[in-house]
Amino acid sequence: MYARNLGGREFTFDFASGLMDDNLLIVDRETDSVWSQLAGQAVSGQMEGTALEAMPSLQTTWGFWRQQHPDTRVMVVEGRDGRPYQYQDFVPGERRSRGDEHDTSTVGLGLAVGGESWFYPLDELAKVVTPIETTIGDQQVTIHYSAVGLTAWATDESGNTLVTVIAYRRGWTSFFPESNYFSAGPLP
Amino acid sequence: MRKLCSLAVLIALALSGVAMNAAAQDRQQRTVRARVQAHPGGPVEDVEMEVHEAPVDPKTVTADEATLEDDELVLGLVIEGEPIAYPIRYLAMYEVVNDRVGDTPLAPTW
Repeated sequence: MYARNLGGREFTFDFASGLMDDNLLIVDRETDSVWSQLAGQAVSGQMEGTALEAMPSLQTTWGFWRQQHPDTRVMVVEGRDGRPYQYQDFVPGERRSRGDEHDTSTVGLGLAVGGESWFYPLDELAKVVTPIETTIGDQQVTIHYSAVGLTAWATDESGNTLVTVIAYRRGWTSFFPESNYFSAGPLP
Repeated sequence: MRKLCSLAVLIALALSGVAMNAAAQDRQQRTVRARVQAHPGGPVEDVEMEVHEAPVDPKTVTADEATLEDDELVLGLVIEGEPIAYPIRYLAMYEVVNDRVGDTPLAPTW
């Protein structure tokens, strides 16, 4: 999720057929520059090297979002229903074996703060008492988890939601090879 | 004279309609050349990429009007006190959407 303005200019994006670092690309109508959808950074064209500002967002189930925000608006596309996007039988903390990179047991919360990156597998968060108070790159961070929402998020010491992403472990690792990984540790 | 004027207006309208259609078509069909991967795992090479049009100012409805399943995924955000949810089922079609909430131009991506 990005703010699509930069230095007083507003950009309108379309989507492209190519990839960079195995991530999807978008193209702005104003300069035809090519941007990485995951990094929010222009990889080619006039805007190359500049980056959009990421906005804090939450990937979660519709049921949880609606319960948290009864007055929410919802985007619709008229004439195209698409197919609902769900995790298959995903219950964090319960063992399954699907054996591919889309194994939902590897879904987690990724965040990068002050040069430090961390990945919190939902499976591990399901084993501990949340929220968790921690320090990442000199900043106090609280990690929240919801079993109903199949999600996690992070706030700073003032309660502001931080920019995070819900990702597969493999996808996060390819982007942040130096990432730390949260583990609940051996059960007592 | 009035007839001529309205004829001119009609022609102008028709022409602008043609121009708008051409612009819309250009966007639907345009290509952009860049050094990228043509397919997942592929090498970075000079690729003439097809560029497909993404939605601008999408329609929104209230939670009561929405017909989503409770366990399907959305990307949610609260901005300037206004909550909005983008169902992944739509983001997955387009990868990106061009929206505006309050004064903030937003690009939810997937």
